Amino acid sequence: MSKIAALYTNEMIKLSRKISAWILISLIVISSIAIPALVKNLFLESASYDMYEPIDKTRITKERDSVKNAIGDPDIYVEHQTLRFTVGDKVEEIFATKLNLYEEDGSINNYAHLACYNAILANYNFDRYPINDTFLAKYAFVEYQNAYLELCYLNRSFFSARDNAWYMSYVEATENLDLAKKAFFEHDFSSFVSYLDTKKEDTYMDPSIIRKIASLDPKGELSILEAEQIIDAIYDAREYQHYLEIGAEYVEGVYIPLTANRRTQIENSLMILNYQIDNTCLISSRDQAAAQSKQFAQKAGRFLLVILLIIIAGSSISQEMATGSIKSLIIAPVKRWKIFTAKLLSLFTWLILGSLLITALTTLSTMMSFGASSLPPYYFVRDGAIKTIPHFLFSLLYFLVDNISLFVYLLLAFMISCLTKNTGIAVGVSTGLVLTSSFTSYFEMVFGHHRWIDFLPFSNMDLVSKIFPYFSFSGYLDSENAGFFGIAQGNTLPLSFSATYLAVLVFIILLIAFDAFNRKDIQ
Amino acid sequence: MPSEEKAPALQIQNVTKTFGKKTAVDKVSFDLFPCEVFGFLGPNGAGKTTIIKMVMGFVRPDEGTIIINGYNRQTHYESAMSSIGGIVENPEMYESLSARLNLQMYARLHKGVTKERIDEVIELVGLTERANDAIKKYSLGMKQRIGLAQALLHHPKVLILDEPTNGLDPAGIHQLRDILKQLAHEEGIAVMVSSHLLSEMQLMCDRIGIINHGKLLQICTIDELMHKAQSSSIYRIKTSNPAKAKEILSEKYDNRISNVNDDTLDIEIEEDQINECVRTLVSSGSDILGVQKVESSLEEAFLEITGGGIRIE
Repeated sequence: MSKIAALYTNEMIKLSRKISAWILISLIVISSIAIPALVKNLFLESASYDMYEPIDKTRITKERDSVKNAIGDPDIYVEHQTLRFTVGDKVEEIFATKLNLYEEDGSINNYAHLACYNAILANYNFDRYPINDTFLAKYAFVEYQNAYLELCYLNRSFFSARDNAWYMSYVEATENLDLAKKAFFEHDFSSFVSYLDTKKEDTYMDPSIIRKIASLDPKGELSILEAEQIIDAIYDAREYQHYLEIGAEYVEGVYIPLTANRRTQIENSLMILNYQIDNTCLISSRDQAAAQSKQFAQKAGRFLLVILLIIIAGSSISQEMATGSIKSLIIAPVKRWKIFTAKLLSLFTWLILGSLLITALTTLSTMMSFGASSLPPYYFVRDGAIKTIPHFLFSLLYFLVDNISLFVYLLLAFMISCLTKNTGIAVGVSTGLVLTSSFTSYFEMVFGHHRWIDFLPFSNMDLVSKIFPYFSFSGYLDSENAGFFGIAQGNTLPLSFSATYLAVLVFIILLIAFDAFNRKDIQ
Repeated sequence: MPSEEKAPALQIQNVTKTFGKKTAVDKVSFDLFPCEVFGFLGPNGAGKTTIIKMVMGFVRPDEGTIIINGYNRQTHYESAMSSIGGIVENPEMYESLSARLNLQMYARLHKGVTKERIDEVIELVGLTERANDAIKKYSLGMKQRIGLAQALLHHPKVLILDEPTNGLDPAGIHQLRDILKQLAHEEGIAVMVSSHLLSEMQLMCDRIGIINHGKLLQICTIDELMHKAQSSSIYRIKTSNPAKAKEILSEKYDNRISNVNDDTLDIEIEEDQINECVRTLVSSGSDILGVQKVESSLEEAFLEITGGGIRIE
């Protein structure tokens, strides 16, 4: 053992003195730190999550006048974020503008429509009413608008055309207008909710969802986006429930019967979703942006790590053979399997250290860019209860599992290095395989599904979605699996098959490499 | 000098190695004793390096046994290898690392090599001032020296050096010779040196093994070799028709005739045979224009042995 430790120490000394290693490590450090910050600042500048940012009231006052003019002009794109604070008590003025627009060209400019809608909505939330009220106000506003427009039409019709039906409509519109007005301006929602209950079928608004949000947020601490997310999640949960009830899921236009495995997965997903709803810890769009830019940074880091490790693995033996420095290892009183093991261990250490470095730096950088709370833990279900793994640990494990293919390529480079004693071939072949491996997921598309495809190495490299099936609840993207046309490659193979396959593959590669190194003469 | 009472430090028994169809080493056996410098002599490609590589663990023998310091290399690899040090072909180390770090790394693989010992061997080879330089800045001679330092680091019982004088300047060669003699005769190390230069061997070796075409032809002391060189000599006979003379002489001295030129031929005979040889030629009608003794040296004795002139059973 002490000999292996000594050899291992020597290997680490040698590797740490490689300039190429340090160049790549500094690239990894730079990309890990820079990418989350870049993504945040370049691509997500105007993304919706920044509604979380504190409201700049001086800016609002400044823009008030210009925006007021903008409402009247259908050709100007009005960003709802600038508009949202400006409308205040001019609700009916806006309605009138919309009506004029409608009459002029037969359609309401989409931007203007959106702008008006969101402006009023956001304005309402300006002083943070309880969120359920905000939502009710949102629907009250829609009802208010509808009734107002309806009344405008009715008022313009000819007296001769005003029959009994006209009168009924007029009364209904007036009643609705009063109800909605009362709810919107005076925050009296009780009669409005019962009104919604009666209209359940024709409205997009389900009062039970409002009640759910009210129960989750009695003090009105949620923002509109958070609440909207809860609503989306509730709809998702209903869909899962529906799948479980009918025993099939809707995928790309068709219903596919649930397998026992998939059923458990959906049941667990539903549990996690309900847990997240009840504990208001759903992944916000900001969290998602954070997780995904972090994932992106990790992928970039991983690419550099692949290059670094393939160079190390591919040259580890062949370079020593080429320069002759292997002699000082062979002359030493150590058996060759110990040299082999020490080299592998040092390679493995670099893989772990590299993964740790990338994960730590990207996590840190993401936290600095998006806020410390933006990185949620991994949720999963064990024995009918929700468990979590802290984000950093999950992120590291995810990275490592995601890199199992990388580990296989490293061993391959190592094996070729042992076999051919040629660094160029070892590094070239392995890098080539890494670069082309993403294309092999189209095999199934090209050849159709065949049993032999399951036995290709590439079909079994993706373990991450099998080990962490609920990663999306932590904001992670399934980027590896989302192939062309969303075909999930390898997903159909069970974990036990893929794991066994990879274990056998790794064992064979190691055996060939060891045999080549151990038995061959050194010239 | 070899002392038969002592147990051999290195035993090579019936070692054979073939590369494809070519037998590089053919049933070679010999012992190496403490306190001696053993020269391994043979032309390029004779199998010297292959034998050394087998001893050092680079190449696996097809057959035969190698015992180092009483340990069979096959069964007790690490014990056997910890008693051996050496340089195979050129000394190769990690070029970008300093000499000292190289030695430290090598020392880690041995038991009981102290920091002081590293300084000691660096001083022995005279590289104290350059020890912290990267190996790539070293000349070939300096590399040889640091290679020797590495080989001696762990107090080996057997020291094997393959062409150790390569790249050394005359002063360096002299110094190396002294170091090797001192190591063998004073510290009791068994030293094996390979070379294709006999003159070098002459100056530092106690015994010499001569190898050619993978076969160990002869093992003898330097004195024995010198004696052989003196006992038989080559005479160059100048005659108008060397071809005819060869015909006449070949009856008796068949395979001792060489170098038949336009007007001379060489014949290898003992001193007391020269009279008879000349008489034979004259009585057969050849004219003799001159007979000259070609100076015999160790080199020729060596060539004779390796060139097939003399077969040693």
